[in-house]
Amino acid sequence: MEALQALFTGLAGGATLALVALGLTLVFGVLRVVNFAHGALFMLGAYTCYACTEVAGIGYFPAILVSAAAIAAVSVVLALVVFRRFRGLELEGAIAAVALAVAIENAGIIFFKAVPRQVQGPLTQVVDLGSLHLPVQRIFMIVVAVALFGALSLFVARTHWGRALRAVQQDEEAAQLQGITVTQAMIVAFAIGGALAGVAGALVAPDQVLSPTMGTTPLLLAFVAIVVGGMGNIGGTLAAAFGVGILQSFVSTYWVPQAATWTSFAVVLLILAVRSRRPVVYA
Amino acid sequence: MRRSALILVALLAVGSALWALGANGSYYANVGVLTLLSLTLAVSVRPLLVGCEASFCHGAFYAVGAYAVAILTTRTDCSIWLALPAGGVVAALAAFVIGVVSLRSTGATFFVMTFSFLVLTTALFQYATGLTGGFNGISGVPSLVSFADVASFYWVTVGFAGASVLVFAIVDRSRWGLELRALGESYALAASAGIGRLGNLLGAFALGAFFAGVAGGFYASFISFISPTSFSFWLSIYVLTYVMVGGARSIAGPVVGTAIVGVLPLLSGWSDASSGVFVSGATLVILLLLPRGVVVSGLEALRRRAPQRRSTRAAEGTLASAAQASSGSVVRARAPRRIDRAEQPLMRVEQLSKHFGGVAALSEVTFEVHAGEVLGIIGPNGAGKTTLFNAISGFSRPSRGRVWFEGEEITGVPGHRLVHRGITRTFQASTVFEGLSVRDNVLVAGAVGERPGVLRRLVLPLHRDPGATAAADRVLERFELQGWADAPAADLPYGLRKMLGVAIAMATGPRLLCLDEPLAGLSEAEADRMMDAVASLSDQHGVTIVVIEHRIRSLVRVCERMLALDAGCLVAEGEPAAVLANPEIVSAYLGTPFTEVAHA
Repeated sequence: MEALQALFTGLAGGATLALVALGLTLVFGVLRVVNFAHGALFMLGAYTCYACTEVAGIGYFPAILVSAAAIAAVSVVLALVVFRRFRGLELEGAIAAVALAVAIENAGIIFFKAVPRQVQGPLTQVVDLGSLHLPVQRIFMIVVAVALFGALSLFVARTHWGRALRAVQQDEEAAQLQGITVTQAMIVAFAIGGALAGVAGALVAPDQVLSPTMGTTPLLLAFVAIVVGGMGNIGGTLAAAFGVGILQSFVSTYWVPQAATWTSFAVVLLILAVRSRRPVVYA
Repeated sequence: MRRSALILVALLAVGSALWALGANGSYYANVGVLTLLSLTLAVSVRPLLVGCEASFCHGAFYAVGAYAVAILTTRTDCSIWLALPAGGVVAALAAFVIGVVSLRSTGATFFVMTFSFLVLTTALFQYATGLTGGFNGISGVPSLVSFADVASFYWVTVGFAGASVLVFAIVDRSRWGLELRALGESYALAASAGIGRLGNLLGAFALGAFFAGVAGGFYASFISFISPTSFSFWLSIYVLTYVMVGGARSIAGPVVGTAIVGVLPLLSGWSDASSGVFVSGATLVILLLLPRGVVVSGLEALRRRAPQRRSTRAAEGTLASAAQASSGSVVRARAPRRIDRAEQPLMRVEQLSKHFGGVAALSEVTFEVHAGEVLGIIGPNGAGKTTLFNAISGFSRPSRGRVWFEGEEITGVPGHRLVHRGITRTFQASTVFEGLSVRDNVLVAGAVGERPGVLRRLVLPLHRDPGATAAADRVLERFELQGWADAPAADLPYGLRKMLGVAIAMATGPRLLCLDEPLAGLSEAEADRMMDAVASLSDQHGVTIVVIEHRIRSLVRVCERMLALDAGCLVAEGEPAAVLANPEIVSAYLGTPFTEVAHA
């Protein structure tokens, strides 16, 4: 029973990670830039949800949509103002993204202060199956994550813009010859990535206390998920995100919660070390 | 470049010293010590950045050094002066271990692995209570100066930071520094110039970690008490911003970057959050305006303004002589060299196959290359020509089959090692190191024959090495590039760039040169010049040449024997006229028979 409970908690944690990681991997695929500011977008999503429900007084479900739209917009603006400048300058682009993340996070600390904020969600019930306790909010998180993953897969596989994204990911020049500009693809990728981060933030808002630094750990664990799952591979990313969530949950349950983060990184280090035994150097 | 860096360090030191003597002496000396330690971190993380990998655990090496010094000095009776270098060695060893594992990967994967290491060391400091004191930390680390006054400590730190900048400035101007820059431009091209990635980047990583570790020891000694909270998670990232703001491509970059974004937060007494906003905001604004950093983008702007008439005129001369050289429309094939079949072939390729997933790009290809010949390889796009090159020059591992060179099996030997054994290849794309000057392009490849000793490679300023520069200039002259020697390779027109690509390969002193479409995109005149150069390499220098080319007319001018590939299989081999008349080749590749070959 304890194991099942841990598995459920892990799936809920993995669901949030998956939403953050899917956006991250989409952006990386198009721009080859590691978007460190993605965790800050997740944090802004949670605060947008808070502003909607607790300040403006609109319902939780519309607030999720508002978060998605607002963060998608922020993400596209960042893409056009900042990331577009650093195409082909991978290191500089990565550092600029880090600077952006640090700027947003610290501005958040100054602006929001250390006041703990919480969103009162409508899904407060808990489903009890014997000794298994399943909060409905967390079931909702898992369902939304899986549904959005399905929608994203369909989008990438079936629609014009989805194919455009894959085309740019594989061969920028050839895609441009087909009339797809990289800027267009970038806007689509950042919009979707931002929307997913906004939804993820809104989903965790009723489940945890909000703080300006809440985006850092999910960002780093999402990195783990996209690297282990294969850069640009959304199916692998989803699987890896759930894997990380479940690992964290089991370590917390059976050992100590403090060990959850570093054991995840130890495991990823091992996986990557084994995988890179044969160097792929001349890429 | 080194002079400007030293001047900046001197300015920084003098500036801080003046404050130190002022009313608030100890306070400003305090700021000075921390700034100088940041500076050391920035210059020591730079070599790996030059090689184009961003490590996110430089702060971890700083912390490892600090803990090593703290543990050595408080648990044993090791003196602080002995403990400092020991701390550096511990950090360098840690870097070696993590580097062996992680430097096999690149980019984002390398980031995640170094970051994982940072998280693990932080966990070690927090939870390995027996060793590190856990959250209680370690107190009573002895100070470097007997009387614990800040000003003396400051002067010791000035000496250490100055020495670090000097060491990295020397490295920057050495052959090794140039090799790291070449690696930063392109790993594949660097490998074809005989420069391996793993060993060089590992060296840069470990050397940087050593200095970070010693700097950490200084820090521990300075504040005398360390705990996990002494080492901000953001330190590793801030250090990278210092380098990027100034510009990673210049040794003065980290110095300027530290001065711009590193000093003010220490001086202002801001909260962590305000410092974070300042450092990141300044970094963002500067990178948006000057994407390559203040120093590098600034120097580029200056260079663009300065006129470059001399090299332009020289270039016009080259092109004009190239145009003159092209004349005569009858293509003459060279007389085939008499090949002694009893003699051992220079290279033997046996049943070589390469599969990508289910696709056989190359299947069971067998042939020999004889010493002194020029062997042409033709075939339609996708026939497996480049795949064959990759497999025989060590750039990919064949799925099956074996390759011998000079009687020894070389299957699976990495490309950069094969360069040292006498096999060099060129590429269709990525032909030159764009960020280096034309002379440096050739210089960096020139170490293959002579094998300079470690000390000479690390310490001697390359441009003061008369042997090396003279050899490079000879290669440039042979390819008529001497007028462009000091221009950045990125400024070369396309045709000369292809020429430089072959010059780089030639500088490695190969016995077997594999040229991958040297004529692609060249004008008729340029193509003739290139083929003349190839012919003279063969005739005058005795280099054996294998060349892939689509321009049959130019190819038959120089090659004595030809192989034809189609769909991964060897379909014809022999004298050019015979191969080109082969009906299979005509239908698969040529379309109409090629009949213009006139035997000389």
